[in-house]
Amino acid sequence: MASAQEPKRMVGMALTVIGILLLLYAIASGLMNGQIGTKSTAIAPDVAAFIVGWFAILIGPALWLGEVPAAIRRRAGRS
Amino acid sequence: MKVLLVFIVVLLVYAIAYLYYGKRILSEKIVRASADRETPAIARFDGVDYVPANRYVLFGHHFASIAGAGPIVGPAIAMAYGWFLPLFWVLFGNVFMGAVHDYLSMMASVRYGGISIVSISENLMGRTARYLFLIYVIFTLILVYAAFASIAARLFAANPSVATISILFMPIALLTGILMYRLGLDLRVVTVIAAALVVIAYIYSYNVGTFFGPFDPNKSPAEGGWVAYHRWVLILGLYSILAASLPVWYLLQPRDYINAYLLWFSLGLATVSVLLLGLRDLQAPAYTSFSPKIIAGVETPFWPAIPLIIACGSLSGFHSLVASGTTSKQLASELDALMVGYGGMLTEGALSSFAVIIPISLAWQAPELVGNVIPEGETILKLSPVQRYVVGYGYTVASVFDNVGVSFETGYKFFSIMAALVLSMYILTTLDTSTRLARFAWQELFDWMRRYNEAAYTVLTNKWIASLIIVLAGTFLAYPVLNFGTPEEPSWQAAYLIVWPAFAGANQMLAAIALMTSSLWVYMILRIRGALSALIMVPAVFLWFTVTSALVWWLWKVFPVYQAKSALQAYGAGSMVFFTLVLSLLLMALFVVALLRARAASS
Repeated sequence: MASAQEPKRMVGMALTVIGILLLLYAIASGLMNGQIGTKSTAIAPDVAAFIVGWFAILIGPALWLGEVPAAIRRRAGRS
Repeated sequence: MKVLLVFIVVLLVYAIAYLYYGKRILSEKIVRASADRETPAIARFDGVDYVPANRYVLFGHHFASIAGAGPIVGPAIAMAYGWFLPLFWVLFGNVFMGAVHDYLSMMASVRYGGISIVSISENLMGRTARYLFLIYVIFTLILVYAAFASIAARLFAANPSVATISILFMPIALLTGILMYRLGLDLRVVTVIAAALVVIAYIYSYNVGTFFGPFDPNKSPAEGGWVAYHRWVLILGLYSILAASLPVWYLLQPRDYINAYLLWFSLGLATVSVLLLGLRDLQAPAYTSFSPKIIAGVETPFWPAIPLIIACGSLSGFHSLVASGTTSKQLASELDALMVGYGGMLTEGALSSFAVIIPISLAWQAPELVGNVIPEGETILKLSPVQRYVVGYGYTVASVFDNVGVSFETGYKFFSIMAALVLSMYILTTLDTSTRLARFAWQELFDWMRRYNEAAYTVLTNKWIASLIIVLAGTFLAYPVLNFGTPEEPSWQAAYLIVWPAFAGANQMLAAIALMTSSLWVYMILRIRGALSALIMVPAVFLWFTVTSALVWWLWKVFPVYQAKSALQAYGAGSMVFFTLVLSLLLMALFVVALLRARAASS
């Protein structure tokens, strides 16, 4: 059972790391330029990183740390 | 009228309502809530949707989900009547209808194992009612999604700082959930860490906006004026599918917990400011007219049209779906329902009263604002509804800080921006909660298929596919940008102008139907008779009659105006309003039949 979950966890971990890096890049870019993205039609790399990083960080930890935490199981009376 | 007097009256109404009507009558005499009964969050625990929550965390989720932009925008629009009538509708609707349908929907759902108020209708009004109700709910939730996706996309495109804070808020919420549930940190420590991170994110966002392409609402989409808007509509669609499918403990509970603190903070600041300005007089007139020109420039009578203007601050069908959808599945004890359900709705009314109606009344024609924010010779009504709230809030809090050495200009700028940022936080919550609730309703709608074709049922009700269908339908309505002017003088507007009247009507009718279903549950299942039963059934029927009259009024008076301006807008909104009316008439007929049968059976 644990091995079946392993690839999912690895993907989750990778997504989490990628998400954090992309968000940090976008935040740093915003600090340097005073804004993230541009008003032109082309999509700037930093705004793309901000959006992709946002989604990666939404999904990543859910896959990585996916199972219900013990604290919540206990509250529901499950071991 | 002195501010302090209004303040005391509002506070007294809410205190009496909570302690007497909510606790003594609804909780103790009608529902007979007990800590000994196991709730569905415990009995049907699944780790995804059925998860018991700390009652303060759950209050945060419920409050943030039901709040949205509704309690702010509606009363701000209704200020055209003066301050008395909007305040009266907020208090009356809150105590006798809104908080009642929230609490009873939640408790009925708990007693039926966590199913929605829709499925409960089957037990009370029969199978036909259930499927009609389900179709109605999905239809309403798609409208909710479309209206809020359109508003959010326009807000993000026009206010890049709001987009930044809304995105940064998500990782902070996830971290809060992980610290709280996985690492088991003390709730107070987690709260302090989350609050510090939110403050840092606010400061960053204040200085760094997120630009996602050109946005110039004066240009047509073909000229590239709405690129950022369209991109945000699509991005928000993808976000909603993801967020609505993630386990509640992971994103929804911690995010809404932080959201609630933000709302408490902004509400608390407004309440204290109003109190400190208590000896001032309200500058707005108490009463202007029974029929000022509000909806589409048409004379809009307070009755029956008020439910089409003030929604969530007073009552809202969407609330009963949240109460019997996500909240009832997370309730750890029946006794928590009073604070979460009834108390949550009263708090929302307090938000409308203390953060919207009174501040707007104070800033009405303030000398500090006239000439720069408010045009010369005009009142605050000249501004858009969201602007009225932002200006009123900023003015009220800044006036207090002005007395302690912070210049009015500095305080006004800071607190008016804070008001706008706080408002933006709730729109994303509404988007993914409406998607999640629509998914529940969609899955319930096809439960009959399971008996005939298990494979087809599994595919159609898969959580990703169900969410995708809902979001695609909502995005289809939210995406268009239409010309509401003439070819010579175009006026480009986002789709929510078409969707909004249909959403408001459908949402309020849903409130009436939820309250009628709850009153049947009280009458038929809890076997409550006499005055106690009438206390719920009479407001339910009154509300249904009011909203039905409002929709008929809309078709009679507003539809021709829209028709002359834009056939697309008229027939788009008109067909949705008409559909709402037909479904509500059918459901009313089923309600009457069920009630007569129950009376015959008991006599």
